[in-house]
Amino acid sequence: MEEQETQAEERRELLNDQFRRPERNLWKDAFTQLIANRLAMGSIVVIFIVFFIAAFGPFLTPYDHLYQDWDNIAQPPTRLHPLGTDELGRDMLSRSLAGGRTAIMVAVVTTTMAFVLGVLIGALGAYMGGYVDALVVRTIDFLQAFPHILLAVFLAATLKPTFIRFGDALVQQYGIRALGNTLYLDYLLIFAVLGITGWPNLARLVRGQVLSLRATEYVSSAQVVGAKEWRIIVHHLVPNALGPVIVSLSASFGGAMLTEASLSYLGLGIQPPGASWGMMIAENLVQWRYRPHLVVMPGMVLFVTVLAFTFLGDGLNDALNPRMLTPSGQK
Amino acid sequence: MELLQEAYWDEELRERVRHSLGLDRPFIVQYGEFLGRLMQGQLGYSILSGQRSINVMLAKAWPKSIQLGLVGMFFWFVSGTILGIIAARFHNRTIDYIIVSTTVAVSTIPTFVLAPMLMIVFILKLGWIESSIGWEGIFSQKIILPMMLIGFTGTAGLVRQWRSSILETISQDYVRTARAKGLTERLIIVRHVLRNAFTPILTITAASLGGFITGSIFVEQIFNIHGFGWLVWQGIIGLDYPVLMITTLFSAAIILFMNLVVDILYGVVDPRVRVGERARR
Repeated sequence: MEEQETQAEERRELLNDQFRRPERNLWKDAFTQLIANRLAMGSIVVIFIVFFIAAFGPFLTPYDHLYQDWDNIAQPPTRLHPLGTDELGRDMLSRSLAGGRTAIMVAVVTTTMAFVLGVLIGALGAYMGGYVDALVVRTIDFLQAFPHILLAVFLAATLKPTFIRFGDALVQQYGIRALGNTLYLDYLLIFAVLGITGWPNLARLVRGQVLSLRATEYVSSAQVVGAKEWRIIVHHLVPNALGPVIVSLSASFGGAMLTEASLSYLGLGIQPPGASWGMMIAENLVQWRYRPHLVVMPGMVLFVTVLAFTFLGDGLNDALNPRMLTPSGQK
Repeated sequence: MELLQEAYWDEELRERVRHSLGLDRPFIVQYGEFLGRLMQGQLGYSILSGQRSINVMLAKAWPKSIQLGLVGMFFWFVSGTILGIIAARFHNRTIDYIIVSTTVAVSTIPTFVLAPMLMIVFILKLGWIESSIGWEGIFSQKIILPMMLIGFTGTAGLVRQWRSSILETISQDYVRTARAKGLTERLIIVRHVLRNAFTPILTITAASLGGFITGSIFVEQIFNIHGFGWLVWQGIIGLDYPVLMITTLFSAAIILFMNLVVDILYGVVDPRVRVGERARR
């Protein structure tokens, strides 16, 4: 008896060893595929470095990004200043690191805002239907009819005086010194503008996802067996809609950085003496003919970072959307 | 500041200015008047440049921007099409990967980074172009860099679209039939593949328009071309709200109009999309 059982056990184990395939799910598959994608892995390394810089950058260099070295003005790269100095004698490396902090902060905050707003509004539209849905869709259409940067420029220019007045009022009324610093107001302005312009894309995606997923057979069968609505949401809608949303978030991360740089370049974002890659390019563009490195350095940093997010987004898209469920393909 | 205000502050003058700008009326009335004037084609007056009419400013700016935009779109279309066809022809080989990733990289570079880099390469290092600043019509060498910059912003999208849509068309039955008939590869591609692959290209053309307009802001600012984008730039640095308002509105109107044109063109390119006829049947 016992011998037979052990034999059966052994046979089962042998079967398991030889024929049973390892457990699979979307996330594991996606992870394996992402690991295999060399471009995406390289991008992840770059993104980690940028995040590290954003967190610890100011401690890595001996100079403050505002410190002016009067003995070395507008120098090409030297041992003292690895990336050279600008025409005010500020170390370009320190400024680039500080600019990285700005870029990451703006990207993190505005992407979070766009994510929360987009998911809430998109899901609201899809669930409520009727007038609410129509209102949501029309608002998205309205905001997306404008070229993205132009709308951001327009909002930034219009909201700016309001923000400055708001800051002044707070300083006068409560004596909060920090708000008198216009740099913080610049950050708030950028957050507000990019939050407003960022959510429509995501809301459209989430709305489409919810609508199309709710029409699938497995949601219908869940409804038929009497599953509660929140159970359908948690077990069916969220996991299936998450892939496209993650891809879209990665893209919007790079996009937010780019828009911040563009706004700062145009003089509507971070103002001097704050540090932003876009502003550094604008400051030094006048003298591109004589000191090209001052324009090339921040430009290259910005380019490499945004490119990393683009390639990571592509890699995530290949890994997470096996059916190529692109936003434009959604109806 | 106080002294200046004491010296020049004239209550009566202030009221007169407020009245002439319509600021003493309720907000909603002002908005209604703004809309009414807009309907009649009066776009208002710039605050900054001495009360100049925005109609005049736009009329002066448009020709340059349209020329620049058309030249840029031409460059975009030609380069994107050629590269896309090559990428599809050699798909999943090294040359395909090189083309796709390079165009993605170039399209990712913001215009205001790419512009100084191209200037440094072509003017400082290579010396092929003497100077690019200014506007001397589209047959001058000064147009080369602005044209490339406007074109590059959308190249990656076009290359990808051509590549995927050609690959999709090439596996169709009628292409196999054409091969079986013994047509030359060139004829198959030109006559059977490209024509049928063209419909999705229209979509991406419409989607790229916003990019061309925002690209023109940076390009015209950097190269000092006094067109539409330059007007936007002037509005931004001077916080000239009427100008900003009209230019933003205008670009949205252009994009909506071009979307309509593209929708109509669908029917011309692809006979299956003629909605009206099918509805009548």
